[in-house]
Order: sequence, then structure tokens, then C-alpha cells
Amino acid sequence: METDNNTTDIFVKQAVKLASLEKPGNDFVPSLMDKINELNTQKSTVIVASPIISKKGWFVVGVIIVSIFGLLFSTSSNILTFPTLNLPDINISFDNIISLFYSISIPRVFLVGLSIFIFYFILQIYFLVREGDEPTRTNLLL
Amino acid sequence: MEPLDENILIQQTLKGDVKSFEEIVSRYNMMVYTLAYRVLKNREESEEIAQDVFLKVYQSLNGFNMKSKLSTWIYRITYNLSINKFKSQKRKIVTTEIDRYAEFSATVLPDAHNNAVEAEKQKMVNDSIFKLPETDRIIITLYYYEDISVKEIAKIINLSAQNVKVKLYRSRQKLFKDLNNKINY
Repeated sequence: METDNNTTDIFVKQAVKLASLEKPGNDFVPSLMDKINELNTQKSTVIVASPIISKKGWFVVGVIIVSIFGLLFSTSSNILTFPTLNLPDINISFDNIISLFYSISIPRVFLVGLSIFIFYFILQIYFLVREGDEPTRTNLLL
Repeated sequence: MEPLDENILIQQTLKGDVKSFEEIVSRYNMMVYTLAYRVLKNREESEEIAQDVFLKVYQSLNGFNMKSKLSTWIYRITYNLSINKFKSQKRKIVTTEIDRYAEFSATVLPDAHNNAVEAEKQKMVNDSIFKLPETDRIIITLYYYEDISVKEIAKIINLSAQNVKVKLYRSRQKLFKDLNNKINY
């Protein structure tokens, strides 16, 4: 049995060696090296892309949204009033203009709408950025 | 081919020496092409896959673990890309080896006859190999042509060593049965 296996093994080995390796075209190596040189050229001129919104930017946006929602739920009033700095008395007749800055009244409904708008806007940006990054995430199958 | 020599080539390539990578390509291009051809049975596609293999090797070389064999890694990439290409196409193309016969000169008759006989034998062996399943063709080629161990082959094609042994045994039996009466040594 073992002798038969050895015979078979030797025969198949000789047969496979007889088949020999296949040879690619003569321009295989030169064209491959051209592609590699092209890759190297591209690498040296590539512009490193920075994210549309940096991590700090996302943090600031997050703080704003949380603040808005916090303000929304902190009072049951339909109008939110934000006190502002009272400007010092100035001997110039800007009374009408200055008086606008004493307080800003924002209806609650407006804030809710604004919050929802900002939320969906940021969600859109997130998906757009993710879609833009998709080609670089290809698995190299290793 | 000594491992140290290959590691030097890899290190030089990583430093930007493209000539070193060309040396790696020269060493492996025929085997890579052969493996791809054994799966795809189409020369143009096999060349394309072979080029993709080396491009991928070049781009991923900085992630290569130098404790492993470079050949195992390259052949594994070749196998994966070839099989993926084959599966995406789901077709089998039989090529006619007309170009082989064109290589021989008709002016020297004795050599032409011997060469034709050898070419015929090669064709018979190739035809028999192509009757095997794709993975078995790769196993046979790696085992008998590169003298790669069953363990290494198992790493390349991502099967257990036992599974590789069984496939090797069966393929060997099939080839022997097919070729025994056709080829005499």
C-alpha cells in the first residue's frame, strides 16, 4: 500500500514538473513597475484630507445642542428670556439701538424647531462624511 | 533562496528602493501567475490578478511580519484574489494552448518532433490538472512544484492541515488514474 502511494506520489510529482510553470507576458514586470512608480509619484503629491468637522467642532456642536435642550426643559414658559449685559451709559443718542440689547426674547416653539433643524443638519453631515470616507475603508483581504 | 536575503530585499523596498521590489517580483511572478492561471484558466485575467497581487504586496509590505515566510504571504494573497475573481465570475473558460506550438521552429526536424511530444505531454498534464477543483489545483501545484509542506499550504488556503492532506491524496489519485496510461517516463 505504501509502495503504491510512493509510486503514485513520484509519478504525479514528475507529471506536475513536466507541466512546468506558466509564464506571464514579457511586459509583465515592466508594466507592473510602471504602476508602482506611478503609485510612488501619487503618494508624494497626495493632499492629506482633514475632516469637515474636527473633534473639537463636534464637541462645541454637542455642547450647543445639549444647552438648547437643557434650556428647553429647564422651564415650562413658552418664551425664554436671555438676559444680556447692560451696556454702560454712553452720552450718545443710541437709545433705540441700545434698548434692543437689554434682553432677547425667544419663543419656545422657535427653539424647538431650531433644535430639530440643527439635529437633522448634523445627521446629514455625519452620513455625507461617512460616505466620503468609504473607499479608504476597503479591507485588504489579508 | 535564503530568508535573510528576502528580508534585506523587504527592508530595502520599505526604504524606497524599487529595484529591490523588482527582484522580489522576478522571483515570484511565474509562480503567482501559474497559481492564478490554475484557478481562472484565462491568461489575461491571470496576468491582471498577478499584477494586483504584487501591487497589494507592495502597498502592504510595511505590515508584513518578517517572522513569516514571504512566499506563504504572497501565495495566500494570490489564492484569495484568484478565488474571489473566480467566484465573482462563476464561469469556466477553457483556453487552447495554440501559442505553445508556435514556439518551436520547424526547420530542425528531430528537435521539432521531440518538442511537439513534450508539448503534447504538457498539455495532457495541464488538462488533467484543470479537471480538478480549483483549490485542489492550487494544492497540487504548491506541493509538487514548490515543495511546500502541508502545514504551509493549509495557511495559504485557510484550511486545516488534515483537510489539505485529504484533498492532496484524492487529487493525486485522480491525476495518476488520468495520466498513468498516457504518459510514460
